[in-house]
Amino acid sequence: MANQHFQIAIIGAGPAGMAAALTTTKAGLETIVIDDQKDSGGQVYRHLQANRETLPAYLGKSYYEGAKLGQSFADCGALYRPDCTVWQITDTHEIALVSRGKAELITADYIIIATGAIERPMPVRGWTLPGVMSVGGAQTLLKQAALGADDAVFVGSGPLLYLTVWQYIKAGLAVRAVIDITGAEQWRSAIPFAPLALLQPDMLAMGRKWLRDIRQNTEVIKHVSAVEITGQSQAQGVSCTLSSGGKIDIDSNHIFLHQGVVPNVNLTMATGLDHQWDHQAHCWRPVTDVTGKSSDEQIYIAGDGGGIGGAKAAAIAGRLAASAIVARCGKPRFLTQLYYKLRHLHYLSIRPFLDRLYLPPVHFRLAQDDDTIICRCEAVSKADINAALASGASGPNQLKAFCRAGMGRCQGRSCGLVVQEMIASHTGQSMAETGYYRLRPPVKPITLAELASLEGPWPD
Amino acid sequence: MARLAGTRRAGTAATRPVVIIGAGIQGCATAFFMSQRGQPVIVLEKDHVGRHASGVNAGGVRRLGRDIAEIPLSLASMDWWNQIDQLLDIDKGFHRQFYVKVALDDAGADLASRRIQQLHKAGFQHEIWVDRDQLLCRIPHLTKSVLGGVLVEGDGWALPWKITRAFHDKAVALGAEFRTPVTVTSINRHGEHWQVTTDAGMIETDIVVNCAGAWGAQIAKMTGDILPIEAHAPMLVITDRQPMFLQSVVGVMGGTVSRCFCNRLSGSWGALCHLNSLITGQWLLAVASVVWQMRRAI
Repeated sequence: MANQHFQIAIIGAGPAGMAAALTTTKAGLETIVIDDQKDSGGQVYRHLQANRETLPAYLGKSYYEGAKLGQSFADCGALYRPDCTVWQITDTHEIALVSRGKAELITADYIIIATGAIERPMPVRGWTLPGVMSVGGAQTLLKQAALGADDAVFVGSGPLLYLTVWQYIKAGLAVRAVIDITGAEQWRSAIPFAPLALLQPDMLAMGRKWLRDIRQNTEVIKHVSAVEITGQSQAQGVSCTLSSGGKIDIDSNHIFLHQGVVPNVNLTMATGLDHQWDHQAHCWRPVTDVTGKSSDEQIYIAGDGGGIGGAKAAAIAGRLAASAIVARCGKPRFLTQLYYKLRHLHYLSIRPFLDRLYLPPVHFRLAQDDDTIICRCEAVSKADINAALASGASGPNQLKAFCRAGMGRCQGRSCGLVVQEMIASHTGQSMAETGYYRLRPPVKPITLAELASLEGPWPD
Repeated sequence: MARLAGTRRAGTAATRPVVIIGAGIQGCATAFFMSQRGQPVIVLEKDHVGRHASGVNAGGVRRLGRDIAEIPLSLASMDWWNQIDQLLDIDKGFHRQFYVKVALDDAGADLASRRIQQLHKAGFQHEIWVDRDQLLCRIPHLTKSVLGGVLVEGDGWALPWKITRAFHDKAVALGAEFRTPVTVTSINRHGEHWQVTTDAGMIETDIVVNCAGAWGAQIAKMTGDILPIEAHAPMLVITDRQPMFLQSVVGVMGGTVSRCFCNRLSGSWGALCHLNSLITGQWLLAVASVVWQMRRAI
C-alpha cells in the first residue's frame, strides 16, 4: 500500500507549528500537522480554545495572545491530526505515526519539526518523592484542568517558574514560598547583556510585573546554596541552606521544581540530524541555518526545539522555516523572509541576558547526594553512576551498558543532561566532547500491538 | 579470525605481545585465553570495549540452526559456556535452557525435517523435532496453530555486555593490555614480523589476530587478504520490562534472525515481524521503549 504523501509535514502544533502551517497553506502547499496533544496550542497555549469560553483571568494576557494564531490555524486548511504521535522519521523521510492504537507511515517532501522544549531536570534530594512535580506540570494542570494546590513551594528559577507562581497567585491559591536559586554570579554574567535585552521592553516589563506581584504575595527566599526535599514516602517540606550558612525549613506537601527549559532534541537526534552543544544556554540544539534548515536538506526545525526563544520567537521561526520552504517550492518571497529574519533576531535579543541569568548554578544541575536517583526510569542513583564511571565507563552510551542509566521509557529526557555533566566533570572533558545518549526510535513509547498493526509488506 | 604469521615453530610462546585487533567478545576472549597461558597480548580497539555487536545483541547462545561447517566449533564452544561462571568468576553468565525454531506451516515443517535428516547424515544429533503438544506444553504462550519445531536442549542466552566485560576484566587481571580508543591504520611485513601502525604509534609483533568483526575485511585488506565480510544490521526491539513468560528463545523455521522472540529476566525482547502470528494475546500489549536500530549503531 502506498503511503499517504504530503508536500509539507509539520510535527507539533505549538506556536511554531501553527504559524508554519499558515504560511505553507497560504502558498497552496498540501500540509499535514501532526500533534501528540488533543488540541493545538502546544504547551504555551495549551487548552486555549476551550479556556476562551470561560476566560480565567489568572492565566494572563500573554496566554490569550495565542488565541488569534489558534483561530487562524483552525481555519487554514491544513490537515490537523491531533492525538497522533511521531515515533520515527526514517532516512527516506517516511514519518512513522501512531494514533488511537494504530501505526502508519506517511511521507512528505519537507518536514518541519516543531516539538518545542522540555524542562531541564533538577535532581535535588527528594525530587522523586510523591508530591514533587515540575513547574511545567503544575502549569499544565492549571491550564488544562483548572487544578492547583494551596500552600505549594516553588523552587528554582526562570521565566516559566515566575509566570506560574504569578498565575497561582492570581488564581487565588496560597503560595507558601518561592525559593529562588538565581545567584549573584548569574547576575554578574548576565548584566553585560542587559542593554541588548532592552530591545524587548515588553518582555522585561512583564517579568518585572510577575516578580513584583510575587514579592507582594508570598515569601521569596534568595541566596540559596542547597535545597533538599524532606519526607519518607511523600514530600513533607523543603529544607534549604542559605549562602550565609543558615537553614530554613518549610512544610509543604506540594513542591514544584523548575530550572529552565531546553530544546526537546529526542526526535531530531533520533532522526540522525547534526547537533551542537550550546554553551550559552547549556544544552544541545540541532545545527540549523538561519531559516531553520537542519543538516538534512528536507528537514527544518522551528521554535524552541531549535533553541529556546519563547512563544513569540517560535511563531516567527515557524513562519521563517515555512517561507524558506515555500521559496524552494518556487515562490521566493525575499522581503517576507528578510522581515521574519529581523523579527526573529529581535525576539532573540533578550536570550543572551536570560540564558545567563537563569542558567542554574552547577550544584543544582548536579545531584549533591549519593542516594539521589538520577535516572528515574531505571532507578539509577548518583552513587551507581559514579561506581560505573570509576570502573571504566567512558561516555553516556557506555554508561548504559554499565548501569542502565538512560535506557528507560523517557530515553534520557529526565537524566541525559545530568548524566552528561557528571561524566564531563569526572573525565575533565567538555560537554561537547562528552556527547549525549545515542537516541533511537521509537522516540515515544508505542505498544507492540501498535507496531504490529503497521501494514506490510515486510522485508525479509 | 585469521592468523597472519607462521614463521615461528608451533608451541613456543612469542616473546613479543600478540596484537589482537578488536575488543568485542572475540577479541576479549582471545585475550583472556592467551593471557591464561602466559602469552602477553595487546588489544587494540577503535571505540571502547563491547561498543558494537558484542555489547548490544539478542544474546542467543545456540547450536541450533548453525551452518554444518560451524557446528563442531559451536559444540566445542558450548563446553566453555557451561562452565563460564567458574571460568570468569561471575554469577549466572549463561542461562542454559533450550532454543527452538517453530514451524508455523507445512513449508516450515518440511524445512525442519530436511534439516534434521541432513544433520543426522553428518553425524550430529543435537537438533531434535518436537511436536505441537510437547511444544505448547513447554511454551504455553505460543500460537495454537504451531505444527512443531526443531529444538536444542541446553542452548540458552547470555547478557552480551556482561560476558564481554567479564572476559575483558579477567584478561586485564591476567595482564592483558587494552588500548582504547586506538585505530589500526596499516599492517606491514617487516623482516620476520609485523608492524602494526595505529593512530597512537607502531607496534611490532609476530602474530596479529583479526577480531574486528564487521570491520574484519578492512583489517584483512591491510595484509592483502580479501574476506567476503559485509555488515548487516538487523533491527532489535526492546520492550518495557515484563514479567517472565518465556524461558527459551523462539524463532521461526524458514524465518530470519529477526523473527525471533525472547524474554530476558524482567525485560522482554521481540522483533518486528510475525509478532501477531507467533505470540498470542496479552503480550502484544508490552510497550516497546527502544528500537535498537543497529544500522545506526554501525
